[in-house]
Amino acid sequence: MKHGKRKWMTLVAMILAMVLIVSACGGVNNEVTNNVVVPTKSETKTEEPIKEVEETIEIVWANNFNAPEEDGNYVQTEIEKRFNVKITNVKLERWGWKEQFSVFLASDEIPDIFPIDANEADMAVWAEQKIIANVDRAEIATYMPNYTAALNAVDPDAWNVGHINGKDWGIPKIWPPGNDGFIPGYNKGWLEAIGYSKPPETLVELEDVLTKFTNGDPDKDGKKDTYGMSARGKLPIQMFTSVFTAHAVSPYQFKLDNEGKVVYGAITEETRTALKLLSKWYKAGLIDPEFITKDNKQLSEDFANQRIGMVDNAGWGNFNPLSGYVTGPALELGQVNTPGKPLIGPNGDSYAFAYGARQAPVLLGYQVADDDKKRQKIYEILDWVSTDLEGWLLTVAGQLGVSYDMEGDFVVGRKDESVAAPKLGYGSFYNPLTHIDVTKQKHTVSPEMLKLRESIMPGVKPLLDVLGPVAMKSKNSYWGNLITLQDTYLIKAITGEANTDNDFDKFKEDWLRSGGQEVTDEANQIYNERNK
Amino acid sequence: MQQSNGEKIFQVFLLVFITGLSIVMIYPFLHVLSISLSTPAEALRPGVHFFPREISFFAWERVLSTESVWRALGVTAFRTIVGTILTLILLSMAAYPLSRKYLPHRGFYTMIIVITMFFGGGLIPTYLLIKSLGLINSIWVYVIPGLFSTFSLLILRNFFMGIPVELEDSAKIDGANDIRILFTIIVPLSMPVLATLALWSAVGHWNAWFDALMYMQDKTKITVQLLLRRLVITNVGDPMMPVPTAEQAPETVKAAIIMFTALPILIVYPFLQRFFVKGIIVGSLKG
Repeated sequence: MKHGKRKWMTLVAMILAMVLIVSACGGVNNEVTNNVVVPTKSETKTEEPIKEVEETIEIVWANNFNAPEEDGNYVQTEIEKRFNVKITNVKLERWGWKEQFSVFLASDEIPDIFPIDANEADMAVWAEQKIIANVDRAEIATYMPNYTAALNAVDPDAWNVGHINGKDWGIPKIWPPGNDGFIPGYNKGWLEAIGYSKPPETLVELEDVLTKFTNGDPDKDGKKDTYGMSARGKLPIQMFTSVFTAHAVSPYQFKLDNEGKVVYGAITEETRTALKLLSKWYKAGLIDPEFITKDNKQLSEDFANQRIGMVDNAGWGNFNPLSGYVTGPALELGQVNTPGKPLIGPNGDSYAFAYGARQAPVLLGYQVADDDKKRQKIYEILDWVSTDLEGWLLTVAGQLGVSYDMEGDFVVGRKDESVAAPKLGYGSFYNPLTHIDVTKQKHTVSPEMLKLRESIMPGVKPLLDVLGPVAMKSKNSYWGNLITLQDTYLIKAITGEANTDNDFDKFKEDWLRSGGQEVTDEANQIYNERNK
Repeated sequence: MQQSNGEKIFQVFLLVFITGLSIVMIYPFLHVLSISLSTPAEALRPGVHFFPREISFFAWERVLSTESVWRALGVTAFRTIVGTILTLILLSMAAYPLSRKYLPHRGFYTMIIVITMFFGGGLIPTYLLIKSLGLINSIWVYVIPGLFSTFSLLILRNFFMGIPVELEDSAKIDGANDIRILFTIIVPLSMPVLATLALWSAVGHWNAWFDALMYMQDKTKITVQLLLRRLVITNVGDPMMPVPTAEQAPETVKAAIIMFTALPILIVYPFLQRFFVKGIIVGSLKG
């Protein structure tokens, strides 16, 4: 018996020792943790009313762009000093941030400033769940005068995105480069080989070019191993945009029909006509049959390796020789990607598919609504970083002479890892509104890029969604299925598995019956409300 | 030994099959290695890459001269080594009493431990637990929550049960206490199964990234796999980023960092492999 007792003592002693070790680790780390852990909603709420005007305000700042490595980095410190605030960083990954963020929200760790990539659907859900604060336009105009002026100069209707249930949720955010549409690019050597001195201008010319690209052995290797074009099947919204926009439609955008009603692009006659043409081209072998599984990486490689002669989902910036998409890799292998113009369709339409400048607003945590001082402070900071040259340069480029230099107006970043964005904290982390003030573009677009832009973009009309990003109740219920239905039909119609006559009618009917009608009705309702 | 024709054909078939299987498994490594040693232009060419056609050490220089890669590797090495050692110690100390038939209420203890195999708290409760333990941002968050694996415990317990009690008795007569018996008799006799468990634990630690994603706000303490994920997922076609704050990693650099993170654990495998099969089979069957 005595023996057994001793054994038990040993066991208990061991367990106690383990508990001690574990709790010791925890204890040490608590100190570290307390500086970083996000104060929860309840903590913020129970704060005493601020007695002195100059008391330091604590702001919990979450973002999934350019997360700084260290707390207390250069940019953070500069903002803290200037505004007498204490910033707590919530650093999220660029990809996969939502998984992280959902756990934080569910654990009642709601930041004051939300990540850039939160979209309009998130916003609607969070507004309903009382996670985000609604804002007052007049107050924003008071505390963010420069921002308001800059926004109104570009898009005064950007408020529409964050307007649900009669309230405004967040500070409007726009990204003007989103208005620059996709420009088709062609292999210059191939064009010359088939007798074209310049890129095709109309769909009819394009058909001729693609035919010769496919059958005319443009790479001169004596083998029939080329295709006219391919497409980004992995992201169907970017598939064959040059052909669809020549018919004045994107199957994934809402547009106005002849009667001024909002209608979804996929079920319009324009889409049917474009699909007829694409399926004809596919049948004639002009389109890479593997387009369904292609993503940008493969498109880039296919173009560089002379498998395809045209890529139509690149922005003007991708035509610069250093671009990692198509142009750069092509140059490595001696091929030149030359930009064309959006093609002119059968009715004389010519557009560049564009996502549009509007984005979901910068959202603020629920607790900010009850804390006037904090809210106003946040407005002041955001006004400063988005429009004041000093604040903007600080948050976008870091420290002059350390992480960047000025060449005239142009900001040249230093290529030194020790002063890179994650070290100093610049980029977009402390500035979710980098692009609001378009007068700042001269600092980020180099003279060469400006020249490139001037050579490509004049006269290009973007094709935009008539609603832009918008939170719709009916979308929550039906959109996932509708998109699958649409993706499947579009690809089948192009590859000839489905026809563009009866099958298109059937697809249209299915789409409307599976919730498309509700979505269309709501879209019209929103459109009419906005344009009263 | 005489073999019939049938056996010979079977042998040939086996050989072909195993060779094919090996190629299927080795080729991806060769491909990535070859890309990592190629010039960027060469890496773009399609087709089968066994050997780099134009050798360039650019990608490896980039990876090896990047401070954050070394730092993340250090974190991963720490969690792998410390985590594995602590896991083995803890498991041995738990498995030994549970393997002895004379432990009172042994079945009950085993049952409550086994129950944890079937029920988990889920992501959010786990996060709250880790937070209230003060482990957020601590490097110990990589080690402590995963310290104890019930499945490994059962395997180890079963192995220990195969060790005759008589060995203990003689030691006890000589005056050894339980801890001494465990570490001087039981553990040395259980090397195969311990090596197996060590390998499982080490590989798990080496490949882990999700805990770094969830619990580590301090970006200087992220694991090498999270860093790898970040570099490799970076979208090729992100058009027109405003200011070039983050340079896109070329394919060769991505390949080099993939190889760099896979190599250390690959090197460990052959040394532990001889214990591997014996460890699992013996541990799971006896009992």
